[in-house]
Amino acid sequence: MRMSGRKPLTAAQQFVNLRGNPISRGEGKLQTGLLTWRYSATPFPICRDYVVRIEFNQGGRPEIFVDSPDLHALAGGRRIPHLYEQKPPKLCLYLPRNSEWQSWMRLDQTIVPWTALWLFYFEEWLVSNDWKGGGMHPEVKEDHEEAA
Amino acid sequence: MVGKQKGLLGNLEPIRSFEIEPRVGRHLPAFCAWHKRLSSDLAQLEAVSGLDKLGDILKGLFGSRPAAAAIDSLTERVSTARRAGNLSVAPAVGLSVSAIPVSTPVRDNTFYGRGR
Repeated sequence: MRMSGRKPLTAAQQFVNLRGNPISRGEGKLQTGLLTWRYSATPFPICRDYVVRIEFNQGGRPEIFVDSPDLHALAGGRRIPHLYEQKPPKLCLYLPRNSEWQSWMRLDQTIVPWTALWLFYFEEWLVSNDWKGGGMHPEVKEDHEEAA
Repeated sequence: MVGKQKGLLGNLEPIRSFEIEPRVGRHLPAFCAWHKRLSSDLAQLEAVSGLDKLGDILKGLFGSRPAAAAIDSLTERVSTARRAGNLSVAPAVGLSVSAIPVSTPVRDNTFYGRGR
């Protein structure tokens, strides 16, 4: 991970920011250097409500899961685009090598809005079968090899 | 009211009741059925949860192409605002293309991983 010279935020700081931002209102657990945050996300007024879980290990990268509804049931057996893992659905929200997310950045100001965007394009993909949110598509053999 | 009008409209021929009522009477059941269906469709639209569900309802109402065009137009608004850096997320609303107090801007990002 490229460092910008800015001080990384601790799991406790990320926890406080997530709790304080009304777009990520939810509940979580904070242990030594480890944060789990679960909140309800509605990406657009006519979209579903989703339960999103953020796992963050201090010094690492956040991992984002959709706990409900079951994305695979909604997809009707189709392979869902832009996931690090299909089961459980782990979202690919940013390009690691572009430093779009760095450890000094707030999760509630990066990951949470990107999750809303991902969910919006996911629902659109359900209709069109065409991912309109753009992105990078690495050539890999297995899902776990894609994970940053 | 049936009968000869005097004054400003005095020169107009009055419409006699038998000229209206049979026509209205003939179309009334069809109008009522259409109105009932429209009310039901609008209630469905109001309660819809999911872009895909909205697409299904619009498809049933207007056909595949207009439904796809409506969803495309919505998506394009979001994508255009995203490219212009005008997209934000507001509490209880979600993505918004207009400025809402206490909203959080959506920073640039590149979705990663397999596109399909």
